[in-house]
Amino acid sequence: MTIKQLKAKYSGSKLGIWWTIVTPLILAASINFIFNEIFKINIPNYTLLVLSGIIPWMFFSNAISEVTNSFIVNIPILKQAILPRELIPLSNVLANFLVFLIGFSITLPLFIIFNLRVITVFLFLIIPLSFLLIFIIGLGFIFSSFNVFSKDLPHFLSIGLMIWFWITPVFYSIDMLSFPYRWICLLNPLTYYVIPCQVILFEGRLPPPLTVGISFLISLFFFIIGYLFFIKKEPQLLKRI
Amino acid sequence: MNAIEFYNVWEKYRIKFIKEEKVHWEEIWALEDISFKLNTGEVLGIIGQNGAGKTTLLKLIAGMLMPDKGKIDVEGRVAMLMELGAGFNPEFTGRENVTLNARIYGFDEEALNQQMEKIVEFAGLGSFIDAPVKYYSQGMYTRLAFALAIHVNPDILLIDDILAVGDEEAQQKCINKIFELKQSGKTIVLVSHDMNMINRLCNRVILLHKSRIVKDGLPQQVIQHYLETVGDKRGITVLEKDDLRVAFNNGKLNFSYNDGLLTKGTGAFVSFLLPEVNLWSSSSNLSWQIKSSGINEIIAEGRSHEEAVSLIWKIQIEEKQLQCKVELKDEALKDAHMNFFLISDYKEWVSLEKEGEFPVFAHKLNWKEIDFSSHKYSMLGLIPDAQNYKLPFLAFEIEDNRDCCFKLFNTGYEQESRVIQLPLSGNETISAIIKFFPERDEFEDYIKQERQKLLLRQQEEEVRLRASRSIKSDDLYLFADLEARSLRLYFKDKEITRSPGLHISFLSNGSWHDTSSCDWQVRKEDETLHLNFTWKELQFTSKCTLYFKDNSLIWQAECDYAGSFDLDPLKFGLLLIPEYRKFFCGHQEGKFPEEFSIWQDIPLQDVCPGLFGLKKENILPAVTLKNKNNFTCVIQNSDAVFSCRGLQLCLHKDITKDKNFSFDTEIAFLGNESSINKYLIEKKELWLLRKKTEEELIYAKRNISQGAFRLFADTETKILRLYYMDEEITQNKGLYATVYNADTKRWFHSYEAEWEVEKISEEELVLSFNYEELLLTEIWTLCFKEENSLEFNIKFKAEKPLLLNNRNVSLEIKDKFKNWFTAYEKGDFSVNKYIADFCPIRLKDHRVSRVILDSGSNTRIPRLFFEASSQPDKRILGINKLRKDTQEEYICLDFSLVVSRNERTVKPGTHTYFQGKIILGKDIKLEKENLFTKSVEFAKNDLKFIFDRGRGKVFLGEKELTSGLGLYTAVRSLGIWLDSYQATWMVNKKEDNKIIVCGDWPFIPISQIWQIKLIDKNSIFCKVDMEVYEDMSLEVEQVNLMLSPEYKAWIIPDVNNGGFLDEYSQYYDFSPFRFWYGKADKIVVTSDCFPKITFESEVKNDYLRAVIENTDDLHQARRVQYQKINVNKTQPGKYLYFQGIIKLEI
Repeated sequence: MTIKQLKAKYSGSKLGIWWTIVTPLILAASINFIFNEIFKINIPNYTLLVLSGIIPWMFFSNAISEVTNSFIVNIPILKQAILPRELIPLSNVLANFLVFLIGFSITLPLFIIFNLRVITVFLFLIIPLSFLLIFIIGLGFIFSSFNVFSKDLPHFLSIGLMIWFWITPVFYSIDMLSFPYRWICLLNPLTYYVIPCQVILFEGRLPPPLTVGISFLISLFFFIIGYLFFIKKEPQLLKRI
Repeated sequence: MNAIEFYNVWEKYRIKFIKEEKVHWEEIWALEDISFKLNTGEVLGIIGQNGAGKTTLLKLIAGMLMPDKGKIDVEGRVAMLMELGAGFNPEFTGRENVTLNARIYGFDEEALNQQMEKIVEFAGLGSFIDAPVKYYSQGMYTRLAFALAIHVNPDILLIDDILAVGDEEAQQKCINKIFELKQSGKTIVLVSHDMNMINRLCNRVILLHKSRIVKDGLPQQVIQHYLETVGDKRGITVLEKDDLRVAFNNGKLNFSYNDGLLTKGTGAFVSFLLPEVNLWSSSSNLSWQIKSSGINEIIAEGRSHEEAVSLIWKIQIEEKQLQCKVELKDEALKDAHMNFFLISDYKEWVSLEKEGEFPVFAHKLNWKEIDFSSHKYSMLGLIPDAQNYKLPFLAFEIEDNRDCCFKLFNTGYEQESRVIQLPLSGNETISAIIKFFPERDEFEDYIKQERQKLLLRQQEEEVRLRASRSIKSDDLYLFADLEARSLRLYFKDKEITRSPGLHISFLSNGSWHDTSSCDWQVRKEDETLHLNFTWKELQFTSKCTLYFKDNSLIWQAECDYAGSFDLDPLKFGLLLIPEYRKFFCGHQEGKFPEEFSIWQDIPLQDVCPGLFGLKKENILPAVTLKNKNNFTCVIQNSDAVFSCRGLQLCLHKDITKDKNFSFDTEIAFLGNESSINKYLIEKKELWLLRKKTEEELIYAKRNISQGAFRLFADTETKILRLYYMDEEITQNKGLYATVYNADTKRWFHSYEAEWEVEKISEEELVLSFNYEELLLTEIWTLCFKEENSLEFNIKFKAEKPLLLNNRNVSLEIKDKFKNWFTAYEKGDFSVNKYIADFCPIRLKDHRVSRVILDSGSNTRIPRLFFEASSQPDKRILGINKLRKDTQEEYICLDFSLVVSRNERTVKPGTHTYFQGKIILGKDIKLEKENLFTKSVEFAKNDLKFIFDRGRGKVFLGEKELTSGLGLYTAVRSLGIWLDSYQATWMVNKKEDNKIIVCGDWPFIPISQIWQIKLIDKNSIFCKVDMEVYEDMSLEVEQVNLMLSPEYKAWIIPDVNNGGFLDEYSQYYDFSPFRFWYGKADKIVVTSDCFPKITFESEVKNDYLRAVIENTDDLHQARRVQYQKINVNKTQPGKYLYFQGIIKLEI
């Protein structure tokens, strides 16, 4: 099912799965150009810092915007085949995760080249990333179900994601902010997924256990809420498609 | 075990309503309190109107919807066929989609591979299976979906009214598959509007009405209930009597017999064309009200909203009979009819006139009318499939039997019904009766009865009609059959004519017309038939009066013609049955050909006798036609289609050009033939007498004779024959002339031309042969002048310039002659041998103009003398012995003319072609010919040179050193040898010791100029120039000196020498006795008694070769030769051909 989603995404495009590799590389190149050449920011390896944050963010934003439409897009399947409906947002998110992993495996050597220590800790990335996945799935249940009833959600989401991006510490480090602005960041659940990634990839250290713990709780919470929401909405949802 | 269980299931939809930009939501219950249990292996049909909740129910079973209230249990794997294309990703190929879907259904790799082939095959998509499904047609989509759904091996299959898609074959395949699945114990839930399909497939039916289950039970009952209840209650009634049950439901009528539904779809209804909108509407669209309802009768009225259309139906039911009266109250309706849609189990139909089987359903939607070309059916019977013994036989009738009639259709295979249609018109009541026969015997009896009734009616009708259009006399009977447009004659109640019987036919402006294609008017008056035939477009009318007088039919016609084209010919006649085999016409008697192949006129010797006709045949009377006005008679034998004999009288345009003309004849029918025979004998005698005198006259006109010698111009075979003592001496083609025309590249013979013969006197005959293609006439004047001497003179009369390259006169005679003589030679025919069937006799000198043939000891055959007296110096004699068909032998003598280049063109005008003489007699002597008129002789001392038409002879004193052709030239063009002796020569200049001569070659465009000079007493100088006029191929050029065989040895100075042999080849085109060949410019020959001769060439040419050889057996001479071989084509121009000296050593 996940493979099918992937196939559907890239069928008809010439580069196919290579897009997943090309996108982060171009991104890295443009970040490097803008911040180092134009703004001349004086943080060592700033590009890597941004990249380490922007990769999980991109996974998040791509997955959320796609999963939101997953029921709408897969109406034909819902009409023909009899299958657990949960599979649809689930497979959609997993497809995005797979794409993310492929892209990430290309950029990973970059981090290792600049900071050899990364090699010792990068396996720990599994923890924040899997928590992030669960978080997205939970959120995906809510958004995708909701989207069937209200077609405004995608528009709202495109603006929401933009704001959300800037309150996520990607271009800046959370330490750069002072209170009370830092609260905004701290209340943003995504912060707790981005920071561990940054710490592992950029600094080559293990992430602080507190942050990881918080992210675990957030994931669990959203997953349960999301699934319950879906179960409740499923009968109506079926009637609307 | 229960496959599906529903416990008080409720399902609602929230539906958004937008009215005046205000949105409000309403909750609608799609299903209310649905409870049922379905056992495994049951086939459930769900029926109901649109919006009754059928699809919702299916979706609930499938799990695609969840109930709002209640509980659903479904055991097993569910597959479903619903909306088109659902479940397929349009970007993926059919195969990929199948794979993906199969995965969703939980197939593993192995099971999938097993099923894949089956799915692909069942879907029948061919190579399309590997194309993205977005390129599929609707039918392909459905087939693939269906194939997939049944091959995933579901426990429960749900089908939502989609089987209508696809062609019939595919649909049938799907239905068969469903039956198979049913057999294998699958649970199937089917939603369909096709009651017949539901009936066939299901063993249980649920009727949904307004979200609730109204009825749940056996298909027959539930469907019945559906048809009878669903709709406006005010317009529903049911009548029932014994096995027959009729349900009227708001303008639709369904009936069933013995619990079997006979109608299909909407059953019987009225459809009408609304004139304002030009749309067809159905009676079910009207609002209906039952006006009265009894046990046996219903009266219902239907009105449209605007009250424009109103329909009243009166339905009566009796035992095994249903009557349906329909009254349409609207005059504006132009087109309306009642349709009875019946199930397709009725396979055959019967009418009073015909019967047949229904064809297969060929189209998807198009109706097909079934065979109703000409008949009007007031009754129709339908016969069910023999296997379905439950169905009754049906008979449809129209009650008051007016002009209206049934039509019969097959619908397309989507509806798959038989339709019986009955036209209606405004303000009229039409009443159709349907009779039901459970037993075949009853039905057949009924049909038989009805057919007899019809036959009786028709017969009565016919008898009445006939009487008004027929006349009678004893055994004879004439009937004007208006339907077939045929005037039929009967003898003792047997028709002896073939359609169109007595007829008038004519050719006008290139096409034939006859009485079978014109307007007829028939009037009977005092046993006389007045018939008016009118061809309106042609402005031709013929008023015929026919009556019997004794045993004869008198036929008089007054014709009135105002058209502009000639009627030529106009024929009055009759066609008779083929039993007549013998005819007579004047004196002539004959039999018709055994077989009928094409229309053909029997060749008649006398085309306008006073009487002609057919002779008696068993009981058939002889038929004779009197030809009072000397019209042309025609006796015809028809083709195989008509197979009849025709007797006709033809009027030609000399008569028909008049505005009014009349015709009359008397057709007699004779049981006794004696009068005919008497007539025949009389006529025959007369004819023979006349013919004899005629023949003699003609024969005499073509003969001239004198003494024993007679000439006969045989115009039949186109041969000029010569007789001696009444024995023909000519053979094969006799005496004839031949020319070759270079424009058309063809030979023309006088025995192929158009002949005309005119006898001037007993001794003189003038013949003219006309070659139409060449616009050329040959005029032969043949005349006996002296005793046994036929002189003839041939002239051309040309009307345009012609290129005539060859002009021959030939005489072919019997092989009774033994020897031949010319002035120089004689020979024996038996010596020469045939080459194939051709024995050419070679002459040493063929330029002679006289020849004599002698039969030797045979005294019955005279000597034959043949002379060409015009242009004798240009004649070439040919003597040939030929074999015809390898058996018969004959001799051919011919004189051909040497036609030089500038003489080829014959200018328009009259020219002499040939003058000749043939003498037959015992004692004809041949004088020495003096043809040396054109020869030139000049001498110096003892040396003498004679130039004779292309050959040069060298004499020393009286001794001729040369032999045969002497000094001559020869060229080869395109493989054919031509020597200078064949050319025509002119002396340009002559001096004491010098001549210049010029020769034109026949056949090829060259000429040569020879200069011969006696230089001193023992040397002859010769120079030859050649002029070529056109591009041509000259492969070999030669200069020859043919010398006396007295010369015994030869020398090529400084090179070689040798002796001659005294052997000569029999094969003249092949020289086995060639002694030397090589490059040299001097040849010397020596002899014991003759002076030594040196032949020197002064031409310097690398390609020049000297040749020393013996000639062939004919000339028996030595030949020394210079020859040049050309590789390239010779361009037009003047060339030096040869220059050399002949030196004698005295």
